[in-house]
Amino acid sequence: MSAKQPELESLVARKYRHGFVTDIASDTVAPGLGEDVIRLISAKKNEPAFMLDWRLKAYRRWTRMREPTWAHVHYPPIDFQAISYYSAPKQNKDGPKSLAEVDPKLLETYDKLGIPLHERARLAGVAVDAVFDSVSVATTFKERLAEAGVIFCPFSEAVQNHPELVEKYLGTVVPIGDNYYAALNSAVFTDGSFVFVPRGVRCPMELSTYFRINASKTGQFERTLIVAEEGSHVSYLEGCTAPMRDENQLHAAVVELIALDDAEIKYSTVQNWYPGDENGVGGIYNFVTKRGDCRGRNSKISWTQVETGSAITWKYPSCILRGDGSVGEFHSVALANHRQQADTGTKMIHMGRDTRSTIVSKGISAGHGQNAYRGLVKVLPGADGARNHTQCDSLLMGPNCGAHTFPYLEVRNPTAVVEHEATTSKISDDQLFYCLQRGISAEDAVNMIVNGFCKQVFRELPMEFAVEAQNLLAVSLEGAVG
Amino acid sequence: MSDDGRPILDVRDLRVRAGERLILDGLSLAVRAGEVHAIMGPNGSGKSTLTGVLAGRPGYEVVSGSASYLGRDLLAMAPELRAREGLFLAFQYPVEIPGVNNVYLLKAALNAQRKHRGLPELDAFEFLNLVRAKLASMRMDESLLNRGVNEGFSGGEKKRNEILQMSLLEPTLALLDETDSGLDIDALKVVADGVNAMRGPGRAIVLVTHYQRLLDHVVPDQVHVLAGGRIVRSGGRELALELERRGYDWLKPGTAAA
Amino acid sequence: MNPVPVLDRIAASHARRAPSLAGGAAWARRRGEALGRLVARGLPDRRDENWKYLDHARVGEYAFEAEPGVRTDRAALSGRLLDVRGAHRVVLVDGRYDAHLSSAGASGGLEVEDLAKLIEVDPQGAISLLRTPGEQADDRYALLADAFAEGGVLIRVAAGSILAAPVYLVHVATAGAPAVHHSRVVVDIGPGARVTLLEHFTALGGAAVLGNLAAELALGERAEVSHMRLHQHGPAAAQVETWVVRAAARSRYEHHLLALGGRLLRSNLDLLLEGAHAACRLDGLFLADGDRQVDLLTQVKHQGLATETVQEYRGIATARGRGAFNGRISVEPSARGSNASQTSRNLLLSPLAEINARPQLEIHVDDVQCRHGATIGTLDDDHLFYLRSRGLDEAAARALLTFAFCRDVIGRVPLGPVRDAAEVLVAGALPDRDLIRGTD
Repeated sequence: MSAKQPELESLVARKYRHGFVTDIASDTVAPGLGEDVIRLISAKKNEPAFMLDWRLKAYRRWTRMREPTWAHVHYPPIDFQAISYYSAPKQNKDGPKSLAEVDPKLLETYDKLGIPLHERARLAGVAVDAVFDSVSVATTFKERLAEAGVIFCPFSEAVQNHPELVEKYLGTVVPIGDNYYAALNSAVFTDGSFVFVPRGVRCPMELSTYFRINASKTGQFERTLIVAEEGSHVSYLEGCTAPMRDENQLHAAVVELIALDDAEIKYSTVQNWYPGDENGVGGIYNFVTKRGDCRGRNSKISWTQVETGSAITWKYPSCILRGDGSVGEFHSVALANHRQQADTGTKMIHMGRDTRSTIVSKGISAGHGQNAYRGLVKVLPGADGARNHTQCDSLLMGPNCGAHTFPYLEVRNPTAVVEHEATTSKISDDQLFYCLQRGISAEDAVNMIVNGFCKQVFRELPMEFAVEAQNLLAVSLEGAVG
Repeated sequence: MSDDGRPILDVRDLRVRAGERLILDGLSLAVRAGEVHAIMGPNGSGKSTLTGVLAGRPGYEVVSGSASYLGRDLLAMAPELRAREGLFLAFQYPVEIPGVNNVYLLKAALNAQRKHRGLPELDAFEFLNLVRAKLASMRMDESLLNRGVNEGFSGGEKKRNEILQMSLLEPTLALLDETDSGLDIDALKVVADGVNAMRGPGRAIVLVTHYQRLLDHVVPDQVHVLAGGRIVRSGGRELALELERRGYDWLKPGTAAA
Repeated sequence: MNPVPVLDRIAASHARRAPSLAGGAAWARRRGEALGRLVARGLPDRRDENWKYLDHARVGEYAFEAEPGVRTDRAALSGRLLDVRGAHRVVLVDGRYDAHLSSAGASGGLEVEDLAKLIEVDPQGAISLLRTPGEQADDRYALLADAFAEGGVLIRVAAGSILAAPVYLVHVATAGAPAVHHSRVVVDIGPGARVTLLEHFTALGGAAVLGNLAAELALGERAEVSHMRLHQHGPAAAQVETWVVRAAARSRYEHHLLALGGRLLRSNLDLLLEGAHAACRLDGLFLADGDRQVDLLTQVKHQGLATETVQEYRGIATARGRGAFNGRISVEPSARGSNASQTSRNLLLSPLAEINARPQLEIHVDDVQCRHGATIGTLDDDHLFYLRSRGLDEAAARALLTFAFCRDVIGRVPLGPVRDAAEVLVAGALPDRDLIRGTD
């Protein structure tokens, strides 16, 4: 017996009211995209003039661009005129009234993942009122951050309260014309996160926890901007180990990170792209443009991600190593089980002198899963002394899965050193038998070995998520060894 | 003895920086022909910097001071010119260069030096005979000739290879950078014998060492203590024994040289 | 720079020449179809993944519209040849087999046949012996070769034959004026046969000539082939080659590519390890000096059980040279128990030089051991200082270390004269080269 889950609505099947709506107070805007819709969105959000101008410029640019086609990614054609670009946060009046009404299987998953009790209700879509504690917890965080001078709020709030900061930094890492989806996002983005850490401040907490408690339903077009001023330090986590059952198959988000002199930004993503069931075809198409600009000398940006399930990613988290002595890092674990396809990768562009990049990619394939790594390391002529080391390892479980590595190394400076290594391996029968002989179950043995395999990446995650990530892998690998 | 009694090596008030750090801070040292000097000091005192700068290793910036070799400005000379003029550095950590044969390097180095001095180059036979003799005295096997430079050599073998090269090149000024580190007693004896065989009236030897046990076998004429980037104490052999007993702490920088 | 698009020039040249080419209706149809498919798809360009680093404009500079005039100057040619004692010489002049200059006759299981002659006397037979290129980007230059195919050679080694002397296949370009020539080569090694095949690309005169070679090699079961390819073209010449190799069960294919000349080289090697326990060793060395561009593609597909690949490539780019290594290894589900390792190491020695590397692994089965590694770097400063501290001047130290970098790959080349040629080109004029090699 299960309560109704939010239905997965396909883009093509959606029905909307037609006609232009002038009433600002209403919840949704009719589908379609044009300058009038953008003006309406901006008005509904009460944005200052510069924001509207920016959106319009992006929109006009977008209309002159052509949608890219990719030979190896197939998705149903998107009718951009059939999408509604604004809707107020859902009240979830149809949702379960309490945990008792939630699908027990889902609750079991939360249990296995180790998700704290007070979060389960919110994740299951139980109406906000029924949840205790979240408000008080949120208040404590806000106070601590305010004391440190850190700004962390929804993007739309930042546009209201800190317009000068937004105007200064927005679009300086991913300009509106950068690519088709970035242009679209710039025109119609709904919300996202804004983080600003002032000079010399070490953000007192992982911005993960706070974000989770306030996680609103993931929009299609999210915009995130994180600025770390000179000598500051911040760690940010997005995503959730709970299954991301999302009605939006297509995500076109933009994440911009800016690190000034001696600053450090750590951006972690833990995502469980839940495709539906064991035979799930098509997953989430994740056209996210994530780019970090190591603008200052000795600045550092690290991307860490643990992703399971099906997600075809088009743009890969990248670092522009502009400042002399800057450092870029990418650590990733991608797991593809059943019939999932995972596509991960990164780009490191070495521009300044004495820059360094490290890439560690661990792919685990099980069942009929396919895992691909695509990476670019580019050393421009001025990048004296550039150093890169890339390690891509694939663990194959079973005879039907696949692992693929497609790196690109492009070097134009004779003092640079770029090294790439990739290995594939399997969990050997000997390893399994050894564990069994010591009384460890096959499942536990597999988990141990997989954890050992991924240790280098898990070490980079904020602590509370390292544990959840391990649980996530265990849950996702259930049934992989038989 | 050099022609006019001037030192083979004359370092005056040398200040050297590596990156942001000033490592040598007013170091002065004079070594005359026929002499063996030992330079001792705690780790990080600048011993390797000194030998590196004198040999022309990149990465150091000479801030002030001078170093002359046989009356010439040593610091203005390219590394290979210093080598051809008779300066030899035995490295603390000799690199492995797979793909470059030991015998090739020996012959190329020797002939480069001879050519520079207007001497005829050795042909294959002459050279191999010469090398064989040296190998025997260093108790090294001929098979290493065709291997890559230091490739697969143990620490002790690498050090002996350095001494082998030195004996072949017959330098005027030999700088030995912690040649004794990592050696067992037998290897130490072989190395010491090799160094002692090099002692002679026309040659100056500088031994950089942390421990004094090498000095039991290669007895120095002078011992200097390097601390804080400069020579803080000089003395005879007994100084080494005293350091052995008391360590380095009792010597504060600024103590006048004996 | 010719403003007329390459494809148009190709089509125009074809229209002019095709009617007079041999082979009757069957070959006219074959050539016509090849041209048609080529025109429909076009030549590959930067958007094709395996062609993104090639300077296509430079390829287009060559005279696709001109007819190669054939000059054969025997005396001049012998000066360019390597001294390989007793070799069975097979000479292709501007893409056509030259019986006078060749010395290989039927002997000890070796058969050499002029493709041009075969097309005349047995058109259908000739067609049946040639592979038909596909339409994917990587095969377009082979299609181009087929569109103009009029000359080449068929080399057969009978089952069980063990040839004592190598087969020395020379591709010499002699045209005195800019031209493009095409040739087809088919090599068939019978089961259990063993042969050393040396391919040598060279030119008389300095004209801007582009050679386009489409070649295939089939190894029968338990056959063993050692295949050297030495590219020593003059500074204005270019070469495009497409080699398709199939290896049957328990066969062994050893390959040594030495790309050391010419203004442009685009080399494709497509190797299918079809039969169980087939094994291959792929060595490659390129030197992109001066203005040279070397663009390499190797695609190895493991299909049979327990097949093995060991690939070691070395690249050097200096002055304004550009080098690209695209190396793909794919392991199909049927290839359980296979091993594949690929190493691409590259030296970038000057600020205007460029190296791009794309090692790729596609693994579809778990019971395999696969690894690849690629490095792009420069000479080690500590090594340089060590050599200088022993009296070698900087240029000599650099040359020595550059040579050391390639030493393994050059050392494995089976024929002395080929090794020597490679050493001279890489190590420049280092003294006492014998000592560099050590015990050989």
